[in-house]
Amino acid sequence: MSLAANNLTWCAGRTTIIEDITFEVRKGEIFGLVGPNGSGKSTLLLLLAGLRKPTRGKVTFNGVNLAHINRRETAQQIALVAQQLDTTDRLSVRETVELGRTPWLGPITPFGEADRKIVEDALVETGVAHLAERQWQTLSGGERQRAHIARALAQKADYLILDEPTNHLDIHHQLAILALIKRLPITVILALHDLNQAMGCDRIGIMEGGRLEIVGSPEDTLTAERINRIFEVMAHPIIDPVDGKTILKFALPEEKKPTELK
Amino acid sequence: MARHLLDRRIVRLPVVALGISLLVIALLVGASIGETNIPFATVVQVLAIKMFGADYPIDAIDQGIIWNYRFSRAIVAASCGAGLGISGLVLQTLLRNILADPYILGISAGASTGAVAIAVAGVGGGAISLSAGAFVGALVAFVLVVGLSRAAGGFASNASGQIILAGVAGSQLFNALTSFIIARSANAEQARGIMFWLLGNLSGVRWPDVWLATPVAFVVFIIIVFHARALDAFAFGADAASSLGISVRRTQIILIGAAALVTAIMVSIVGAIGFVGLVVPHAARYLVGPRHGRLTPATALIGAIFLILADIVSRIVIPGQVMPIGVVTALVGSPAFAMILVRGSRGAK
Ligand SMILES: Nc1ncnc2c1ncn2[C@@H]1O[C@H](COP(=O)(O)OP(=O)(O)OP(=O)(O)O)[C@@H](O)[C@H]1O
Ligand SMILES: [Mg+2]
Repeated sequence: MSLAANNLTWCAGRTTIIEDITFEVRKGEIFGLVGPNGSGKSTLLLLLAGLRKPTRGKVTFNGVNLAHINRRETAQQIALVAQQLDTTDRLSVRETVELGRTPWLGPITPFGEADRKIVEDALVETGVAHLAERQWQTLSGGERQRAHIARALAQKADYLILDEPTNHLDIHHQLAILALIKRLPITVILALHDLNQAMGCDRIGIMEGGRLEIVGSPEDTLTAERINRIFEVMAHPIIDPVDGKTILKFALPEEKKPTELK
Repeated sequence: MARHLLDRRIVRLPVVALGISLLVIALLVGASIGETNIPFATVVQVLAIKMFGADYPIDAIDQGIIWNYRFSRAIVAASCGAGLGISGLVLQTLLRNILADPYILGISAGASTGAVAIAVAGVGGGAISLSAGAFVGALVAFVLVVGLSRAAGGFASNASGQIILAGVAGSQLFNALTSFIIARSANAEQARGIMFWLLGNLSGVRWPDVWLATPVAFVVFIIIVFHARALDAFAFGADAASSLGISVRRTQIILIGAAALVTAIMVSIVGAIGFVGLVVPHAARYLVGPRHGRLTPATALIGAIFLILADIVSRIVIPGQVMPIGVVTALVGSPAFAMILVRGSRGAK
């Protein structure tokens, strides 16, 4: 079981957004994608979920070209929480999470007891059970984000693709979601901005300008030199006295002090 | 917490029964009210005679009026209201636009042009039926309007304004084409008849129209109910639907094709009736919420009842004269449109 990109290229009109990316996500791992704004993380995730057609190259799922697998089967295997998702419908949180069962239900199959249980569990796991009957428009940004993650969990897919899942979340829920992801026996691919959170992934890929710069363990790839080059910040490793782990502290390089940015 | 008016499970079954009873009552009222009012009991007796071969001593002329004119007319009004309602519902869901409706998007205007081209200008030399012409016109109009809104930068989430403007442009274009065809090919009397029909008019409706309108409305209704889950999945947009396993393109083609078909058939029978497709789904959403499994039947029922009532109003509001039904629906619909516009813009961020 694996999800892989082979010489994946995607163009918007004449502009190449994703350029010749090849890598493989291993079964069961947590794979983090990091990179500056506009480096192509979201686009790559959409391609991996089969929501964009590659201009060249392909995405393969267990060796089969994803473009040849129908949407329903794909959705049973791969769930996605995209970056910006909103609705004007007056759906409740529960109704939104119930949408996650869509790939498993036929047009006339009733929504069964098992489905209800899965939805309930997803609501509990993401900490939105108390909001189940609340209407979507009344939710805060973080509550929406957690409801979306619940919806993706209810999809019961083996692969979970999350685009900045910690976005909008307070620090408790950021850590709770990351802990949940680690607990689940599934493969997770997620885009992250917090490099310290990326440190918790099994492997990461660093993107820049539509290319995948490097794939590897966070320790090997997130070097001070590379962070400086790609993110244009200085990174200082600090040892946490509590658990002895490395934390990165960031600062703008000398010549780009905030006063001069104005 | 009762979010939608009819949300609680216990009330669901009686609600279905209530809805259908209301529809039946509306049909009976539609058959009883008119230039000469015929008592309710007589209407029921006539229907019993015609449908079950019952035996009541009722004047043959009254029987004729009720059965041949009024009852058939009420059924067509119901089919038409249901059809336009679910057509608007599908467009609103798939285009993610609360103002979408076959009339506003120019689909009805396209259908009118198609029908007039067949009826007046003789396109197709009699080989193509009026309804087929209307269907082609409706599809051409939709493709044109969507194409125009995309060309105007309507890919993004701010597409909602673009497609409505494109719909305005499309309606203008097709109405102009219709006028052009009429001016060129129709004589004065034909022209007057067509103009009246274009505003929406049920006076010429007879049983053969029932056999066209009702099956089409029913089949399209079944198609939409069958896609209810798929339509639900569009709540967060087409990409989200796709990630939930919906083949977006296929769903769009089938459902928009069905919406265009039902619109075209209704236009070819009764003309372009506006605002039903816009207002009715919103009323239904208010009652049963946004899930299409319930929303579709509710929309169909409310649309059917609404148009029967609108038809009654159009017959009795000016004594001795029939007002085009499109005028009635527009009088109700425009304020509703304004309300949806105001509430919608407040709701958005
Ligand atoms: N449909 C499109 N048409 C044109 N350009 C696009 C399109 N989609 C994405 N882009 C561009 O491609 C680049 C990569 O976008 P993407 O959203 O993948 O970046 P990202 O790494 O996710 O950024 P962020 O960290 O801000 O979320 C951006 O410059 C964006 O403007
Ligand atoms: Mg992004």
